[in-house]
Amino acid sequence: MVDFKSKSFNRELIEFEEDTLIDFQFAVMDALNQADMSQKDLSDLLGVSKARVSQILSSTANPSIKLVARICGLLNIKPEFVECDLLEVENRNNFEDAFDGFEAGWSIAAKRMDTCQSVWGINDNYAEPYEERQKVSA
Amino acid sequence: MSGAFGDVICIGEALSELDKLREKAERNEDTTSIRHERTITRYLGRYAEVGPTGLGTSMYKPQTRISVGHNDTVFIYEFKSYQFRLYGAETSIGGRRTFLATACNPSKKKDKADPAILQKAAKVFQEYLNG
Repeated sequence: MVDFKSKSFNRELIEFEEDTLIDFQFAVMDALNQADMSQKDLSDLLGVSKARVSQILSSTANPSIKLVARICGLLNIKPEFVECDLLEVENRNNFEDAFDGFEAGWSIAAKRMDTCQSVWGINDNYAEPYEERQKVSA
Repeated sequence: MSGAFGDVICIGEALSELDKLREKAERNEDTTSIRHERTITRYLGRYAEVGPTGLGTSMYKPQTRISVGHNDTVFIYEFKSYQFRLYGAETSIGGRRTFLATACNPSKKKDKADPAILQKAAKVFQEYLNG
């Protein structure tokens, strides 16, 4: 478990924030692509403007947890909180190694409710089948 | 960086600015550079793995077609991580689909891309491909 108390300003936690947002956004993009839907279609479903959906999918987004849940519900994505192993930090900031798997503290994961095929969270094993990830966790 | 979809290669200003950002993020001096670096790294990795369809238009945005002379044009795209922007174009290198990042605006202030940077991105791209 990450020692949160001793790390009020901490790169791991800042990256954790970014990863959580980005993983959610990538899950949304995957769901849209799978359903052959556009961002405009999502805005219609949500009852918001296309610009608002674009903002939600941008780096500056900070959607409320309830809005995230609403989008996930509409796109058949189930968010889950999953315990992870302690972060291995040695090489994770290396640009070439930035996509090697790493984990930190608690992460949020989501799976497609119908297929259970994808997971999103702090991990880069985003495309790993959910069942495979559960085996690793066990 | 390589992935299932293709490669992302950074050269020139794009590479030097990305290196600067990484160094700044590693110094842990401010949250902004850490956020910018993490986000752009994830976007580039996503492009390499999934391709442009895996990114929203607020992450990876088509900009404009730039003439580079002799009937040649280059279509410039922009990766958008907060105010840090990378510019380049799609091509094929060694039989692999490739995004070649050639220019950068590390602290973009206006929403509209600077035409001079787009022009530079296209010029460097063309020069690189022509050897």
